[in-house]
Amino acid sequence: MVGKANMDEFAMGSSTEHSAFGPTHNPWDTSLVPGGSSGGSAAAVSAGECLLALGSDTGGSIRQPAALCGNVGFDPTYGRVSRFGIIAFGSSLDQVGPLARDVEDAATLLDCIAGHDPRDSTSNPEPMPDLRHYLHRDISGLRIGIPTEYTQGMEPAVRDSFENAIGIFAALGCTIDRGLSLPSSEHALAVYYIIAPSEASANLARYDGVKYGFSDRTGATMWDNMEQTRARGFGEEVKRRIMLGTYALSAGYYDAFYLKAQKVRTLINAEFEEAFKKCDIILTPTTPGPAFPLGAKLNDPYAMYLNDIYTLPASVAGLPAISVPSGLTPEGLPIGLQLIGNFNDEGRIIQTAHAFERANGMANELPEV
Amino acid sequence: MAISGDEVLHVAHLARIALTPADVERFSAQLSSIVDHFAALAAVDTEGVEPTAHPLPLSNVMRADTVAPSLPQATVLANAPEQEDGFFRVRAVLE
Repeated sequence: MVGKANMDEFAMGSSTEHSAFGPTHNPWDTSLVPGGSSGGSAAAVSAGECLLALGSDTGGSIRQPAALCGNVGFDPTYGRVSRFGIIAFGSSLDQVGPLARDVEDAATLLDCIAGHDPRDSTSNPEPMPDLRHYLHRDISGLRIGIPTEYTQGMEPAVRDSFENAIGIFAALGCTIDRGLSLPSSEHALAVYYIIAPSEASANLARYDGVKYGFSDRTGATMWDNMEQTRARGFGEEVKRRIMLGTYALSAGYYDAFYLKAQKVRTLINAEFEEAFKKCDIILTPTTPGPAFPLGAKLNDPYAMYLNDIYTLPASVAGLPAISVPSGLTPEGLPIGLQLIGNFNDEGRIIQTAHAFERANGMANELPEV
Repeated sequence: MAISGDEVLHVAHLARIALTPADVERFSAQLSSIVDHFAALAAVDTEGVEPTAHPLPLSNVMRADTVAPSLPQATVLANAPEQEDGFFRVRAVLE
């Protein structure tokens, strides 16, 4: 055990700048963010400070920093890894998964930590196959779907790397379907940023300064103490999301926001279910662009949220998805490729990602630190 | 969709977070801008669509109804900022 990694407070953020301990810098260029929320884990792996790290992923918090730091990050099927002992953020979305230098290491770590846990009431009861069994396998004949909708904000370097990746899969004998349509995925960002903050506002209600944690005891009444405890104890982004979630759940807005988001979530899930009748793996970039400068999106919450636009749909649906390095920008920054699989189909994701990694030849590429 | 300062204060009260006047102004602008981006959801046809609360088809996950050890009281109170006679201590709620 090397240590605990930095992260965005309560896993809320896409840059690790919302940490009470200060920001983490990207080892590829220290003027840039490492992504987030598990940015400390991703930076530690790519700086060579450790071989493996754990992260948590609610809307992209393993995959996005893995992409921005040039390592492999795997968000498994909902409930695969026990959340017993982990602070809850969005309970219908939260996952634990590995960050590693290559697919084999990620598969090995996930093998060790996955499995049903009676102490986690939403633990996935399906047994996890031996993932190492899926390494070094042929993927010819695999059906790969490219959703036409995942293009918002995509930068040219990401587009080039993505096209190159599609070419590699074609050369490996996969069939490529460029006409896959997931029209409701464009609503995944709104759905996520209603459901996750709503769940968070309920989960974080336990931080009242009475039972544990930071407590302000200077007020005249119990309510004063609670309000000051939460005002002083929570950071800016956490307060913003608690407020957003409380608003979405409040009388008069519940139907228009929370209930509506849950219904659109059903539509997103149904489109994935249809898609996986026609393909085995859905391919998208992990993020629209590479790592961005520290501070660049700190004062524009929505611009920060947009960084998760490609990772959110799989989170909303509870599907397993991995990010693997696909290339570098002309400036030498890592770009990530996302492979989304069907429920409990981690084996196929590992098989596909490992075949891509070997053909692409970018594994274990580390920055000079 | 504008979220007024009064609405921000109402939500902050529900969430038990004390806000300064500057906080109210900032959250009013930021939350209004974020909620504006959610407007497209209203146009999605969800007639007859059931809401999804959870990605797995799990229901009624229960353990066997047998007595198992629970957390000792001392452990539960170990991190309490203030405690008295085995209870969490807070300021009086009632006059």
